[in-house]
Amino acid sequence: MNLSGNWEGKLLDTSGSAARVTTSLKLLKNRVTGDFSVYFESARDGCDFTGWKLAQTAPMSGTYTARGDKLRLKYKLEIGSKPVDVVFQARIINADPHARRALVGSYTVTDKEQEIGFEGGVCLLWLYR
Amino acid sequence: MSTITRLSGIWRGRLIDIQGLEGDVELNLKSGDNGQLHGTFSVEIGGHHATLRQHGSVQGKSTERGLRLALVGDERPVKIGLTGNILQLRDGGMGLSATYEVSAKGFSPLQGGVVCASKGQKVEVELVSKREVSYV
Repeated sequence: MNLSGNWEGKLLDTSGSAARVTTSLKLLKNRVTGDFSVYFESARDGCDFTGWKLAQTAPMSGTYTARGDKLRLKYKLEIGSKPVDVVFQARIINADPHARRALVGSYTVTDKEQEIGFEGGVCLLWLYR
Repeated sequence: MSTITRLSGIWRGRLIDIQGLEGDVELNLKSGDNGQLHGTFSVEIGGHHATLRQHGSVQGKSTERGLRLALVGDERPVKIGLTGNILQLRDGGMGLSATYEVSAKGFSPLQGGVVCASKGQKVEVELVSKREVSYV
């Protein structure tokens, strides 16, 4: 299944945080490269959601295993003063009719003492075109 | 306290479905013998025009790193298979990061996706998201 393209979606952290995420992936054999962007909720105006603010865009790399359509991505989050290694493991599944495909999986963080307070959680990304 | 005993209790969190739906999840788990788990679940997906509510029973077991559960709806012929990892949170609570698949004999708005939940946190952050949903 072709992974290459622009994916967008959301992560939910077990700490209670949420973020919008986008990634552009390129697949060459079983190697995956690309950029990964994280957006945090900018503010709430009363009950109204006012949008997402880009926190970081950074390169990422990983591997893709065609058997079971499994993906493993490594990403360095550098929003705080100390970089945090993030490992995202996901499966690629058909998301018709909402999107062409979805990446469904969970992530872990190596250092839980970082400032943004991520503990690990889940992430779902869609490929629409 | 053993891991299986610590899984008992009320887990609250959120789900995102591959069909673009988001909602609240609550799992009320009780531990049995040999790592067995049972209990109830409820899912509430808020929308601008309608709210989907689904509830039912849970059967499953704890695994080496987490848990595997089968959620069966009371009203719809839907079975949700959930596989998750358990995380120890810094504030002393426990977190669950899981993916789920759906098998349904009829129509199901849920098709598969991710669930993130926690229990025993000092700050009940999940209550904030619940309040946000009620504003929709």
